[in-house]
Amino acid sequence: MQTDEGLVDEFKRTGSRQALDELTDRHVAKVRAMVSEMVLDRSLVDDLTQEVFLRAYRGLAGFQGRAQFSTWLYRVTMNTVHGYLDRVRRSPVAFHAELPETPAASDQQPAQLAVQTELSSRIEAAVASLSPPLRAAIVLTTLQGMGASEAAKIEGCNLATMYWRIHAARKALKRHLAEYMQP
Amino acid sequence: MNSKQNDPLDSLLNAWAQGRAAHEPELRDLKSRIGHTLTNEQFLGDAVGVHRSTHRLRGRFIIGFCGGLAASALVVFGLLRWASPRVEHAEVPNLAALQKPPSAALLQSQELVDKSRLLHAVDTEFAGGLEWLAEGGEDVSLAVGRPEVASQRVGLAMRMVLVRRRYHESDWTRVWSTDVVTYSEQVVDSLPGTTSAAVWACVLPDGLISLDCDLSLESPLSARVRFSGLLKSGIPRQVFSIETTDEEYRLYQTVARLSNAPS
Repeated sequence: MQTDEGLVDEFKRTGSRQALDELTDRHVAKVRAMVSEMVLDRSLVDDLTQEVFLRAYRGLAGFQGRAQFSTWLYRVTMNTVHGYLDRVRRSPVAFHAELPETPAASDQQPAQLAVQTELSSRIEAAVASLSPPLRAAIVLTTLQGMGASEAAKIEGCNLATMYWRIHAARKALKRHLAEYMQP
Repeated sequence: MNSKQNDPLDSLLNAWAQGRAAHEPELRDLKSRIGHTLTNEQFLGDAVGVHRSTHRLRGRFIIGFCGGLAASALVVFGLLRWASPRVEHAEVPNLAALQKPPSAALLQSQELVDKSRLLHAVDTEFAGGLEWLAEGGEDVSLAVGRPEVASQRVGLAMRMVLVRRRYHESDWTRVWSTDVVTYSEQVVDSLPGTTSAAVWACVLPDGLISLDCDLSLESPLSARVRFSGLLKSGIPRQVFSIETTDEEYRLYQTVARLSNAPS
């Protein structure tokens, strides 16, 4: 299987549309998840994900291969998200937890579903209370499973700062969610 | 998703994230939407052209940059010549001595033994709940939280020293200092002689210490100091410097790992 960087090279040489489709196929789920966990608004997730891919592909000429393509793409993702969150911050709107989606048919009891829905809203509110840099630290490491070093590259900060952000974010989340973490 | 599921916070967050993940039909729609938009994009047709033009632009940029650099060098040279008469009679300080951290920033081995004992004794006094203890001048402050298992924590000693020298002097004078004993990954959120403080250090697997600090100094210098970086245990690091008309200030920070058991 061709590497991401090989596909980028192929696109640069030949303008191959298939190379871009393959890159989209490989990364769309992860990029969408990152966007969703950062902006916390389902109605915007697909639009922003599409914007990420367009920005990335328009800027491919500037991709020099010094970093992995995935790291570069995730950096474009977080820049797009931070740009969006900055715009939202300038026109402040109070956070309201999203209405949960209608639960799919399930064998769970209604009471169990209600508890899960409430828990989900509380987690969402806790994540929303984090500043964008702290939220990004948690999204990239705990949720997307990246190492602190890769997360630091994506966020454009040094490693020590990333460690600090992870620590501060986890501390804040533990405080918000303490009642759900009793052994 | 992260495989570190034994931490309750990780489990909660990962379950929440799984609930938000897109289902296959949603992803298929999204892919086709992106693909459709790409079809209308101009850049697809001239990807190779875009690549070449970048090189041409870079070439022009390099020529422009070199020209600009030469012009800047001339301006700087002129400024230096213009400024030099003002300093030609000043005494020249010992430059080698200036590069070395002042001895006040060092944590001597006996001090580390004493600080290890201090940390252990105070922590025991508070049933393992000591978060940090700071001493500066005649002020001592400490923070106590939930008891933790001492054997799982790595003790640290920190020293922050602000030194000053006048331009004709080689010796640094200590004008503010604070010593802290705490643990790895513990946030120290108040320090004597500061209006606000947040200092955090973490011992990394390779033995280096990751340090993050944000201090607002009050007196004798009013300044905000922010620093993030890696330190070697026990080696002072200059984290801030400022020059006024006739003085220079430097802030050094030293962090050293303490032995677990007091000797």
